[in-house]
Amino acid sequence: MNKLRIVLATAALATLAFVVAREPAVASVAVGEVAPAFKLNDLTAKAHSLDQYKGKLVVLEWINPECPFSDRQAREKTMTDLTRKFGQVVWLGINSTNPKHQDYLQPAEHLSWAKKNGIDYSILYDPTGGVGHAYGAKTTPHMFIVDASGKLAYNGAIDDDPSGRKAKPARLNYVDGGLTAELAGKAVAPAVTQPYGCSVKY
Amino acid sequence: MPEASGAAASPWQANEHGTVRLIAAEAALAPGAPIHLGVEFRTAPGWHVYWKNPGDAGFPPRVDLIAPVEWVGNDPAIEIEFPAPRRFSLPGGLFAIGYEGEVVYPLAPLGTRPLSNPAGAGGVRIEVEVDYLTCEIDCVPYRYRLALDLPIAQNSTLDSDSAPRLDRAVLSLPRRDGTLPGVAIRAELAHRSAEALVVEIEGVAASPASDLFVEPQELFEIGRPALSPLPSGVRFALPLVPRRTDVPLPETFSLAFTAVGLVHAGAPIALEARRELGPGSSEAVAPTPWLAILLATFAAVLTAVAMALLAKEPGSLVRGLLGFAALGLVVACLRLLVDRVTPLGLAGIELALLGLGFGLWLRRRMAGREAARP
Repeated sequence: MNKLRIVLATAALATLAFVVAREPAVASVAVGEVAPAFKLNDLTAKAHSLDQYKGKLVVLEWINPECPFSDRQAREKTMTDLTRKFGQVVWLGINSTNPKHQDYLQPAEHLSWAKKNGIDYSILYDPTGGVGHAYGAKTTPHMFIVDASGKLAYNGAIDDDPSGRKAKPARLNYVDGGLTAELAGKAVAPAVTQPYGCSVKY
Repeated sequence: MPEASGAAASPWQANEHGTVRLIAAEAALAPGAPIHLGVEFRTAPGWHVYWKNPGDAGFPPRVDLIAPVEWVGNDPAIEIEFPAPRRFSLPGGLFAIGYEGEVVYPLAPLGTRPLSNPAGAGGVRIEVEVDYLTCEIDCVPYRYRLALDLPIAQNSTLDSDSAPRLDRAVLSLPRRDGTLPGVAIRAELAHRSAEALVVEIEGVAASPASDLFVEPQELFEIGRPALSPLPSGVRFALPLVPRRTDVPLPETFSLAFTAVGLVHAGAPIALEARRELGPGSSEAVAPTPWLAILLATFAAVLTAVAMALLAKEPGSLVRGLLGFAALGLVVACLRLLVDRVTPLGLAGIELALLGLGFGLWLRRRMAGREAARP
């Protein structure tokens, strides 16, 4: 009798494990959902949390100076031009490169790359990749806009020109469009695009 | 006009991650006849170039026509056809979809428009600009101008080297839905705890390379498919996670997909299809995973049986053999479960089995202690 009970209990447990485990194998945050909270240190070891910017528009840019796409956008001032244009917007770079990967840069190298390219916004280290995974960040660059209420308003590419062949003014910059729409109280369109670039080096 | 091997190709452009060139099936071109081009890549080991949906990172090659200018329309981009791709795993659970080694992307035929001065220089120079990204884990974008010269002749002739290469590439393109006898593709949305795309293909067999890829779309994050065999086909189930929740999914939407690594009539094939789907249009509900539940239960019971057989004192050879046979069956159950549950689910089942083993061991120990008590 006792043995039967154990067998039945285990069978129930196994079934439960199976049912519980039927969750999606892909992780990402959908537009319209609350953007995952985080607290990360920047290159100067100063902590930034998403909470502290509540009430403001926040742009998150997944970045990796060793990736040709991040580097090209930095040289072409794609991001810094937008930070100048939208002074009231909080712009944060997030580098989720695994410290064991060859692309990982120490703070001093990272800062000198930023300085060389006129990047004055904060770049945060996400060494465990936890924040990258929470957002489903796939590429560098991969762009997210968090609206003033803390919800995700845009998830995707920086622009419509993966190979960088177009002249800069001819590119459709989705983040520019998204911020303009948000500030005008309009819906962001498109709210999702396919990001392009190098894979995040988790 | 003698057939000149290698003449119908541009010189290779080489970099440390691979080489690329333009090839033409034709060795000579009749005025007004179409020309069949392809872009041929040879990647360095470990490096890949991309399918139309690159996966989590990257982008597919882009080919623009530069010359002859008479053939360049409003949009210089030449349509590319994509051979059956494969999946590359990247760190962090990311993946890419593309090709490693040798791959030829056939281009849409060109050249039905007449040239202003066809025989002027005794031939025609075809020049394209190719933009592509190649990645291993790191990525490097490249851009090259590729040109080849073709003589104009009374009749078009084929190049003995390039034509078979292009032919092979065209043959390796996924077959369109409905063009293979005895093959039927069914796709539907299934609702479990998450949205899933279920594709059932009848009339083919699976292989270790079987996989399913969805063409570029912006509605869903799409994970890796779970593959399970059907009596006379294969079934893929792909997790779909909507990329927006602020607006509902459209009533119906179209998804195009390519299934690769299938076997039909003894030959490897890939299939492509497009289906109209929608939460409103589909009444299909995924079958309850009875088989998986049954397998998990069976594995649990077998573990208990094996424990009982193996732990019984005094041991006997027959009992021992039966015990190990039961454990073997447990492993077989787990192998069958791999295709039906997520890795996390499998870990849960394994933990439950471990717990069962531990429980039985503990009980026996207690019983042993009680028996030892004077």
